[in-house]
Amino acid sequence: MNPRLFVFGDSHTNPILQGFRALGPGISVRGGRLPLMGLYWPACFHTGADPLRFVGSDTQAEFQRYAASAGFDGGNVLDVGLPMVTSLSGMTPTANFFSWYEYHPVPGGARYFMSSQLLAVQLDHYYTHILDFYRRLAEAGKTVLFVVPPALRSNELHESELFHEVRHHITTAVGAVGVQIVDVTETTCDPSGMLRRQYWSDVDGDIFHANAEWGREVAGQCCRLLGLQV
Amino acid sequence: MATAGSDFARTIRRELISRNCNYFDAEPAPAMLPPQRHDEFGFGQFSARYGRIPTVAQLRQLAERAFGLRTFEETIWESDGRFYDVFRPVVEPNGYVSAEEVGHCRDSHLRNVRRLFEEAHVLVFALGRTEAWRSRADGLVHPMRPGTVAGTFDPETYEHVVFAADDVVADFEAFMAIVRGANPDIKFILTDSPASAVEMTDDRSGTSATNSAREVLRTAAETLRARYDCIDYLRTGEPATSSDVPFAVRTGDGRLDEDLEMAMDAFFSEHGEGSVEMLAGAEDPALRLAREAAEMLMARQQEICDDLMTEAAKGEDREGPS
Repeated sequence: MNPRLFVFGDSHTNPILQGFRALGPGISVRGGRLPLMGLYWPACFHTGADPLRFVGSDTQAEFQRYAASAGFDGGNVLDVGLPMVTSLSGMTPTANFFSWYEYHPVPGGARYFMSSQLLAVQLDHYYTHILDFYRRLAEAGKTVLFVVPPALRSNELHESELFHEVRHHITTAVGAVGVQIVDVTETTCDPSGMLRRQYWSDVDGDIFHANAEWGREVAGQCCRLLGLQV
Repeated sequence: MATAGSDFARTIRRELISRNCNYFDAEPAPAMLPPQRHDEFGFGQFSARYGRIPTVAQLRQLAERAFGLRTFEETIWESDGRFYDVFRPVVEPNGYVSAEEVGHCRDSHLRNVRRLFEEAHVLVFALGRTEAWRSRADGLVHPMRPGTVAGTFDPETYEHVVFAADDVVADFEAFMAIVRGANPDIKFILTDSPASAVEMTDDRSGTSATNSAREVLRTAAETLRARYDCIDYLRTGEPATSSDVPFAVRTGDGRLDEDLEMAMDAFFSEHGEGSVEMLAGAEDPALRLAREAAEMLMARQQEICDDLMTEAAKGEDREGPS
């Protein structure tokens, strides 16, 4: 039987799934995209009590449907018996939000300046639920990968710089709870930190998402981390 | 209405807000910073993140800096790889990651302090001390003894100074000249701490505030009130005699609570509860939207968290709001 993976998460899940499929029939993937409420994404998670579920009913319903198609009923994330590839970082809306937030880590303009420490404390708070979500999965012995989304393509409001700040902070925190990080930023970005042209979304004007080529880079790194032969 | 000064200014701030006065906070806490972290970052204490300003000399210095009238030599301390703003060493816990970051944060702060001085209708200043530590090289007045949080105390570099009533008056007049130059209609209310005589210096040399120091501040405040129509002075009561511990640690003391209540009643009977015309900080509409979005997000997170915690406590399995 082919190695099977369960892939789920935000809108970046689509190119990730395309990327896995592009690797050929050697890898079988299940899963799909969940509705995660954009900026309100952290409010989708709460992990204080069993079972481990998504808070939003739409989010949970979609997850349940994908999990059932992979043979796992009940909707408890902890019941999924496959390696999980997750795109749940929320970095895209977070970095974008902080670019127009009243406090800014880049000096100048009308905004209040925010030290890196002040940003970190807010991110820690903002990520409380999602970090707990990953901690629960790691403690349960699940094989979970945390995919860093594609870097933003705009830096008009320093959103690209913010993305990399958020990326550094969150990957450090998620890594500390024992989850493996899938990060193709180095290979997919130019020296300024912007996503290279070849990885841009096929949709005109979409500066947030990447294409299947980016997804293939992600899929390849996932396979290497999981020791899967493609 | 804005506040600055000793710890008592924090009490005044709380009271102004609880009595529905339109308080001017020129550096409000970021909406996404949890409230329990506000204090350690210097938010929600005064009208800006300047920390305690125990001496009038320091208040004058702040205005001089905000309006670009004076610069100083040693303004950043490094300690264990972290960097501290000499003017407000405790406003950022564990300091900053770089000297550059100190500079950025300071520039932003001074821009907002200037805005505060330019736009406030009333500034309440709580007099705190008559003594301070000062740099010998350029006269920089420190909020606390150098070396307490960062820096290294060296008697060759820093001197202990005690201000007389004339000094306090002169410093306030200089401060007032700067601020009224930009904001001619601003009014000032001076007040003092109701219980302890004045705040103790936090130096380690054993020098402490005394009741005579309180008298110096009172003399200065009375002089200023008599001299200027734009200044009022709220005398808050007699000093406590049973304790000389710092004001801040006496909040559990019943006598202090009573003193505070009396002081606040006196303050509002003098100035009218909510009747002082006050100014909301001017705010960019885009920033206001960002704040509202962040506040909604925080509220939603909390709401969901509370919901599920309650359900978990009941042993029920229930989905939260979508």
